[in-house]
Formats: sequence, structure tokens, C-alpha cells
Amino acid sequence: MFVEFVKGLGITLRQVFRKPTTVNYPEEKRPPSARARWRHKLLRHEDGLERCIGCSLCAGACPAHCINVVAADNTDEDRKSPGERYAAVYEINMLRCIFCGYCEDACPTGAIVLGPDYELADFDRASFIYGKDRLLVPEPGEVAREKKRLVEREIG
Amino acid sequence: MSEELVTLTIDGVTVRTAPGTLLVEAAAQAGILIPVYCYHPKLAPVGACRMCLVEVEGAPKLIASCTTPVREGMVVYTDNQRVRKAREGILEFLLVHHPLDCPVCDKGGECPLQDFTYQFGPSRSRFRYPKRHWDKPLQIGPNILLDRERCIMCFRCVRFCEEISHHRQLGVFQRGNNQEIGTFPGQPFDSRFAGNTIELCPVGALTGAPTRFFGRTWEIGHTPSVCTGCSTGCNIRVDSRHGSEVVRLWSRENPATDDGWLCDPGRFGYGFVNDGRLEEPLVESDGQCVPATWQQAIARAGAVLEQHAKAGTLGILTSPRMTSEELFSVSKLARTVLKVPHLDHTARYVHPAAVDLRAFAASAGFTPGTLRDIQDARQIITIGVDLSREQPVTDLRVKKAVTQKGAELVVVDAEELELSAFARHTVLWQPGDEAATVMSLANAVASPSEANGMQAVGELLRQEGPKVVLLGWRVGESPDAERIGESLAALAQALGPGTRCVTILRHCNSRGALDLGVHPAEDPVSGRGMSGEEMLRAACEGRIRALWLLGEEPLQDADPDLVRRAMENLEALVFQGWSLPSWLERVPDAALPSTTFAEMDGTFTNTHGRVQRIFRAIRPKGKSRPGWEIVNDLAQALGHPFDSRTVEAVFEEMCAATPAYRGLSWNSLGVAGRESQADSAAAAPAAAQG
Ligand code: SF4
Ligand code: SF4
Ligand code: SF4
Ligand code: SF4
Ligand code: FES
Repeated sequence: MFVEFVKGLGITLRQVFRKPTTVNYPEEKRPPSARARWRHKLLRHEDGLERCIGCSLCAGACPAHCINVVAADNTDEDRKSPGERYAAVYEINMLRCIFCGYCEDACPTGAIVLGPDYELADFDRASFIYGKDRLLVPEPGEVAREKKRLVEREIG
Repeated sequence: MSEELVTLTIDGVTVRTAPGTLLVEAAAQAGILIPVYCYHPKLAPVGACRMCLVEVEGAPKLIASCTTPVREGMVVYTDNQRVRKAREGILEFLLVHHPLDCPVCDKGGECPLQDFTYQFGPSRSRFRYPKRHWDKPLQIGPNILLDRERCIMCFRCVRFCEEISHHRQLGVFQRGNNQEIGTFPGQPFDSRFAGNTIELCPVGALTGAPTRFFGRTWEIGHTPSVCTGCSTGCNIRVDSRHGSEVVRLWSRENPATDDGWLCDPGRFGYGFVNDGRLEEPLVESDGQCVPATWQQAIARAGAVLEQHAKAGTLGILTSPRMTSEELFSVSKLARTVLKVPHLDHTARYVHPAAVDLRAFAASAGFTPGTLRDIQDARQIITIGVDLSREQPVTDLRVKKAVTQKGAELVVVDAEELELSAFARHTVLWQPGDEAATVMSLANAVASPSEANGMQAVGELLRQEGPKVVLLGWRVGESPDAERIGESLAALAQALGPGTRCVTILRHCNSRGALDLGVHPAEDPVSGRGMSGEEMLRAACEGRIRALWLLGEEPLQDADPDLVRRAMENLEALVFQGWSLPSWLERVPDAALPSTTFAEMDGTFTNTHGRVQRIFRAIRPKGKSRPGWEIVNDLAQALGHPFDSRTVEAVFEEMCAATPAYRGLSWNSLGVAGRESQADSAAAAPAAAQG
């Protein structure tokens, strides 16, 4: 009985002097794993055109039915993506999203990817519907970074 | 007709079928799928795509099952090693230059090329060279886009233009690798049947310009309905997205009305459902329309109706594009609560006696017919109707009867019509001379000696065989209705008692409006009220001071000046419809938003009397509600609540109250509809003239 007591206390004492695994979030942040699947991004091609062609395959694959795509015609004067079609509306309801990544798998052009940003809290429900304004990356440079991360994810 | 059946074996299954049946059809009867691209049941077989190859015992090579009729004792294999290999080969060839841009292709998800490739095709291509590329999409007509890269050369589109629409606007150009579908120089593909090729095209080569990128096929809801474009009553499938928007109309074959086709004005004419809608009730305040609640608007409208009904200064003008349930409710309110005799629907003819064309035809002695009768007729006579414009899909039926069944067509009209090209004879009348012309035609048929100049037509129409007369509104415009009545009676007599007559009315529920007595001739209490035109004149003179206007088009056809003056003179106006019409310059006292066909359940009666259901496809826009519901509220506000609180109950009540619809029930209509009683037209004349 006494022996067990000492043993148990030993475990406690050992833990007390170990380096803590928690961090002082949000002052301190841990780099997420290379495989982390959080907030989505819509990528661009190197020439700046949008990768998304508005095909709705992501929406078709999404088990939570949280993607809405409305497609429109590209014109030569106002070209958004290569080819005939682009997404005039692209919305994800982040409240319903389960971050499964099926959308990324389904996308034929590698346009929608899930990134490492996990800080999604917000104050009202409507603001969880992310449109192209928040999803589309501003410049092509993102592609290189994202590619690197995706490669790492494949290896890691 | 007791032909011997042919017995054959397909994949070990014994099939007995009529001689002349094609192998592919016999297999389908036995539930065996043979993949096809160029074969289509309504087009002549060509054997172009070779997708349907099967092995027949005794034949050295595989044969195309879409061009081979069944033979006694045939033994057919549709799924053995050899056939599978051939299919794989054909698919690999079809895909050699195929862009496979399925993600952006409107056909994706309902594409036989996708389906058969999954089912029978090779999983990869051995073609190692660059694919052939072409500019795309090409706009080849106002409604049609062509993507030549996706075309698999099945020629269905070209055959449709040659065999069905007879608008030869598509052709095949070049050969081999460079073969392409195209239009002829300077001639766009603007046929009014062009849209059918979108449906026929087994791939995404032909797509609709107005419906481009409508959404992906798996996101689309399908609802059976009926086209509101004209009085044919073509069955349609309403395709909607998210239950909130109509994105496409598709055909839904019903042999009794459309025979499987649609016309472009009908197919693409759904814009009014999505755009420009009156979404909330409005009431007038200081000369302006301001949004109001339903209660306020109903109270205001009810007050106007009540006040002017009492004073005898209320007129009610309905639209023949409303459902029968809506029309019935309005007419019930008018007859039993408001007690107003001045109730009419529009699309009227100049002569009140000719309002009810079908009664006119029946009193002339014709047997009421149906559109389907056209296909078995030996002689078809159109009188005063340009089917190609007024009922395009019936025009296809007539062309089919003439070109495929050898029927003879006689066109009687003021000028040469498009159908005259298919007619043995075109008889022209001078405007004003309609009655005399029809009379001389009748005489020519009755006795060769009185033919004066029409011997040949008379001869033709004296021949044996079922005859169908298609009677159009221009007859009703003839200035002397009595004489045209006599002439038609003489014609009916001359053609023989079995002659069927279909009257070609104008709007999708014109026939319903007539059946339900929504015209002034039929008021049981006060006798004849004013017709629409009379109401407008009375409004100018101050005898009608308030109008309850239902629908968008009622006054479109009337003299614009008369309409303007009448509207200015009115003291009060209650409008009910799905958008405020652009011609309505006056601010209505109350505007009640009603739903379109896509947002409600109900029935329409087509030109020959087929009662067909429409089903709700999308949520009502804004606060709009079905017309019959609005009328129920008005009845309540006027202190006479109606009992029927569901559309089904309104329908049953309507059937009980309307002789033509006795015996129909909501559930028996199904998705294909039912004919109303054939003798209804015969019963009508007395009422119509009384
Ligand atoms: S991650 Fe999954 S749930 Fe979220 S949008 Fe993509 S497919 Fe839908
Ligand atoms: S036609 Fe069919 S196979 Fe070809 S791109 Fe369109 S969906 Fe894909
Ligand atoms: S356009 Fe379509 S219907 Fe016409 S030949 Fe090509 S695949 Fe067939
Ligand atoms: S013929 Fe008439 S009912 Fe048929 S599709 Fe055309 S407009 Fe609609
Ligand atoms: S379907 Fe038989 S050859 Fe095309």
C-alpha cells in the first residue's frame, strides 16, 4: 500500500519538473503540421489568372454541402481564368465545413486548397461565409509557397 | 393487323417482337442495354457511330443493331468478348480528339459519352499526338452554341433539321479528321426548333446560349410541368437550382400533346419567372406605390372591389395564362360574392359569337378532335391559323403526318404560310371574304360541278380517310360571324360526319377559361356582361369605374390608345400578377403579387381539352402567392370565406361545378394529364349563345 503511494507520487514528481507541452497561446504559436487542413485558399496560376474554373466539382464532393459556386463566361476583355468558364461566386460556409479536404481532392485544377490558418473565430454567423474576396489569394507568389507546403505535406 | 411476331434470342433471352423492329429496340424491350449515340427513336437510322455493334450468329462481322431489323430465329450477343472489344475500340476512337473538358461542359453528369466510357471504355488513350483544336464555343444561332471539339459525328442534329423541323440549317462539312458540323454561309441556325438539338446531341457539342453554365446537372432539381408559351400544352421538365431559380426547361414527351419536342420561344421563354417580379404587395399612397403587408393590400383591394361591385361599376379582366384553379376562384368570387357580370379573359376575337371557337366548331357539326388525331389523318385542313407561329410544335406534327405518313394538307388562309410548302393546295382568301371562301371550298368538296376553280382541292378532300380540320382565330376575326358559321357548317357537312376539328386557341389556358365560363356570355344570373373591349370603352365613358386586372398580358392586344384613355378614366385599379406590366402607366390602388407556373401547383387545359397538372418547382419569389389563395383572402375580407383551402380542394370543387371536367380527380391526372370530356364542346354552344 505504501509502496504504491510512493510510486504514484514519483510519477507526479517526474511530471512536475518536465518541460510543459502547452504554449502561451495566443502570444506564442506553434507551427502547424505540414498536413494541417484549415482555412481554404483559392490559388492563382503563375500568370495571375485564377485557377478555379467554376466547375462545382468541389461542391459536388463536399459532404457538408457548404460550397456554393455560380459560374460565368470568360471574355477576352475581362479574363478571370484560362478557358471558357470561371467562378463568379465562390462561397464556403466555414461553420458547416468539417475540413475533410475532399474539395481539394476533387478540384481538377488544384484551385482550392486547405491551408494552415486555423484562427477562424468570429462574432457573427454571416461572417463565416467566405466569398472570393477572402478565399482568393491576392497574388501568384502564394502559389510557390503553397506548392512547397503541399510537397512537404506529401513527404511529411 | 394480326401480324406474326418474330422470335429471336438476345443474350440467351427469348424475345418476341413485331417484324420490322430494330435489334436495338428489341433488346431494350428485353431490358438489355445496347449503348447508342446516333440511334434515336424519332429519327431514321443511319448507323453512323458504330457504338451499337453486336454479334449475330452466322454473320461474319459485327453488325450495327440500330440499322438491323429483327429476323426469325436470330441469335444475338450483346456482351461477349468480341463485342466488348469493339465497343472499347469505338470509344477510344471517339475520344481521340475529344477535349474531355467535362468540368466546364454543360453536358457533364448527364453525358452518354462519360457514362459509356466508364461502363465500356478503355481507361486510357493510346493516342500520343496533340489533339485537334478548334475555336470554341461558336455561336451558330441566337440560342445555340457549337463546340466542334466535343462533337462525335452522330448527325442527330442534322437529321433533326432534315427530317423533323425541315429547317435545313445544319450540314456536315469536310471529311475524316476534319469533319465538322456547321451552318451554311450567311444562314444562322435560327430555326424556332433549334433548341431540340441541344437535347438530341448526345454530348456537349450543342449547348443552349441562354442556359449556358446553368449549374451542374447533379445540382439541378427536376419538376414536371407544362409550357405556358401557347395552347399546345407541351409537357416540360422544369430544371431549377437551389429551389429558387429556374435554370432550364427540357422536354418531357407526351404523345397526346407535344410528341417529344418543344419550340424555342417556349423552351427559352422562362425569364419572367426569375426576373422583374413583383415581390411584395403594394398599395397606393399619395400617388405612389408603397410596399404593404398582405393584410393591408387585401383590405384595400377588397374595399375597392366591394364598393364598385355594389355600384355596378366594376369590371374584371383575367388572363388565360392563369391556372384553372385561379380562374375558377376569380369567377366564383365574381359570380357569387361580388355578383359582377362583367368578367372576361383576354385573347378575344372581334366577334363575340366567335369567342368560343370550339363551340363555334361544334355547332358547325364537327366532331371535337385532339392534336393526336393529326398523326392518323389522311387529310388535314388548316383554316385561319398559322401553326408554325401560333403552335409551333403542332406544326411539327403536321409536317410529320405529311412527310412520314403521306397525309395531304390543305391550307386556307389570307396568305401563303410556311406550311404551304407542305400543302397540296393553299386556298387564299381576301380579308373580309373568309366566309365566302370557306363556302366555296365546301361547295367544291360537296359537288364537283360547283367547284369553280377548286376542282383539285374538292377532289382531294372527297377522298376517303380520317380528316382533321384545324381552326384558328383568324376565322373568328371575320367580320361576319354568322356567315362564317354557315360556311363552316357546310364544310363540315361536305367533309362528312366523322371529320374531327381541333380549335387552335392562343394561350396556355385559353381553353380552361372557356370551359370555366370566364367570359361574359355565361353569367347565370344577370345574363351577358361586358367583354374586355366593351369594359375598356365603358371605362372611357365612365360606366366602368374600377377594374380588377389579373395577369400581365390582358390588354396587350387591345388598341393602346383605348387602353390609355380607359386607365386614365378609372377611379380605382386592383392589379394582380407576377410583374407590373410595362404598359400599365397608372398607379394601381393595390398590387397583389401572384406566383408564376413554376412556383405553384395547378392545372392548365390545352387547346383540345387535355387537363394537365403543373407542379411547384421553386419557392415563391418574395411574398408572392398563388392566385387562388389571394382570392380566398379577398373572399374572407368580403365576409364570404371559401371552403376550399388547398389547391386540390379547389380543383375538386371546380370539377364538380364544371360539366367538362366531371369525372376528373386531382390524383388521376398524374404527370401526363387526362382528356376532359370529349362531348363538352358539343354541350357548350347553347350556353355560349345564351
Ligand atoms: S473541407 Fe470538406 S467540408 Fe470543408 S468545404 Fe471542403 S469538402 Fe466541404
Ligand atoms: S461531352 Fe461529355 S465527355 Fe465530352 S467534355 Fe462534355 S461531359 Fe465530358
Ligand atoms: S453536334 Fe451533337 S448531335 Fe450534332 S453530330 Fe455532333 S455530337 Fe451529334
Ligand atoms: S409549341 Fe407552345 S406549348 Fe409547345 S413548347 Fe412551343 S410555346 Fe410551349
Ligand atoms: S447507334 Fe448504331 S451506329 Fe450509332
